[in-house]
Amino acid sequence: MKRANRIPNFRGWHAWVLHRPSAAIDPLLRHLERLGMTVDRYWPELPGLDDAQSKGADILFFDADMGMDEQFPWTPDHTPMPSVALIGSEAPGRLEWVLSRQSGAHLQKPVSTAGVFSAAVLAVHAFEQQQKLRAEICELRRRLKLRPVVAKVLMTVMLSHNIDEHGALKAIRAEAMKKQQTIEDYCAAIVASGRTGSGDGATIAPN
Amino acid sequence: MGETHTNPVYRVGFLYSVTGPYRAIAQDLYDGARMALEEVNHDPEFAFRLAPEFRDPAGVPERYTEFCDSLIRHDGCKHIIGTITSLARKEVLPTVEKLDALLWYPCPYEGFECSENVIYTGANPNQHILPLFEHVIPKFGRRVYLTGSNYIWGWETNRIGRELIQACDGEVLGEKYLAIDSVDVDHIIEDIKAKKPDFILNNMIGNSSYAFFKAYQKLAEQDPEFAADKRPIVSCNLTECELVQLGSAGIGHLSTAIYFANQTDAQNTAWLARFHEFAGADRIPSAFVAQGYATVKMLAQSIRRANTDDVPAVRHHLMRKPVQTPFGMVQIDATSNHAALTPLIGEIGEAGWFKIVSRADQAVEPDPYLVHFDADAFRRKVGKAGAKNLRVVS
Repeated sequence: MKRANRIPNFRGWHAWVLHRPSAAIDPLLRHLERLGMTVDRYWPELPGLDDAQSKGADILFFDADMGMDEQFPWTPDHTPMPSVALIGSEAPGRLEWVLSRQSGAHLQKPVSTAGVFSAAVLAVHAFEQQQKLRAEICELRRRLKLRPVVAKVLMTVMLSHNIDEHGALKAIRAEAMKKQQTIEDYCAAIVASGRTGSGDGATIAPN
Repeated sequence: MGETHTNPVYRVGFLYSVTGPYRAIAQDLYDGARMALEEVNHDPEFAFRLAPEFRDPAGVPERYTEFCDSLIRHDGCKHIIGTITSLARKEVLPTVEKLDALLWYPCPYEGFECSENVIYTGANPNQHILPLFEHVIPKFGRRVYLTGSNYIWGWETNRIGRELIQACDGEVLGEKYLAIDSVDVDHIIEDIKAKKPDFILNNMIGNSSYAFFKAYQKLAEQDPEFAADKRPIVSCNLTECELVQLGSAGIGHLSTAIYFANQTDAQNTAWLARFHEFAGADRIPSAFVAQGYATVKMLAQSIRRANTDDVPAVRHHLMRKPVQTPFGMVQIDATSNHAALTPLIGEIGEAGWFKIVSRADQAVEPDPYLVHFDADAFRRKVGKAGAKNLRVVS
């Protein structure tokens, strides 16, 4: 009876809070410390990141009321950490902006201690999901780009072995599996080696 | 008449369900509170009177909110003492926060909460289940069976139990829940019989817990493999006030608490004598009596120091220095609003008393989010897997 623990322990985490000094967020600062984090508050701008690898902090809480894109050293598409919006005004324009910043959770101002832990847990989870999906989409896009290459190898095998596309695809898949590659990467390797050009599809055995 | 100085009267709200499913616990808290109120109101050191407003929500969650609201708004209470279940506490929290009152919560609970409008005087997981497992695992082993009543206390305490077991490479053999008050324990007993865990973590409450102990006793009579000294039931909130219901089925099993009545130090002996005078010589006070008493004393001392019952001043003076309680000097941590407490492990003995088998060397700082839980230190403390029954020689 094993079950993975999906609730992070925040001990040793570093949090950035992007908000002007305000009693409305003091309980947040105190509570993050109770959760084991160190906290730096910034306003009006977050510090720049030293290089592309540096992420600066582990989690960000940002003001949704007065916030603007210029305060962030990254574009919304490249948010390097989980983020939580601190929402006072529920004006649609402000919420639109919060959506554009890709926050994974929010807290209502004035912030009380209730909700901080859940918001942090949800934001971390949302961020991890986002990262995972982004990596998956990147991979799928890369493979999609290789479709013409697969088509080329498929044609070669069909012609050289005189089989239909199902037979050819089956053969290619079997070879790719043997080499523990995706079909796309396997076909790309064949094309790169120039074997299709010389009509050397015979290395692929239909079975 | 004609007095120029009248001692101020401060009203204090109490939310204890002395009727309903967990009345035994509520009665103990209530009696402890009444004893403390009597002492405070007769002690010239306290130049004020505490006027209690007792309410009995009978275990109905909505009634907690209603009573809490009216105690603060209509009766002028700035301080509310009580709630027992986490469900009830979570019910009243929004009211207490909105009206900026202070709730004094006197029970052990599952942690992972830290309202700035609550003073938590009971134990949280690093003061109950953690020391309990540190005691039990080296003696009995790390293959555990988890049981609980079907609500947040059982779920969360078992979740922490599971994490501790994973941290020391142990094994969770089963996890079963019963609806509150259900006595349908046979399938759990069957499962335990088949799986033979090294110990059973019991987070059931009330009738479910009593039925379980009795069924387990029957099992032990059929098969000595399940004797209490071989495969005990261990609990985090079982106290003297429930031992009557358990009868002989409880004997030899273990529980953790921050107070057991059989402490022989001078301080407890004196307090126990006063309690017996107050409640009758045959009554054995549980940790809940002691907590109910201590919580009123903490409030009274803080009002005395602050010279007002205003919440910010009371909170400030509470944090300044510890307060004397039946379980020693207790300091409330200003960061987390939780108490530093000294965990004890007790073995159920004859006649409704616990025998203390382990005591922490000093008060354990509260860590409600288990932020400072160190899995390596825990592993070192409980020893390696397979080193079952090796005892630490002290």
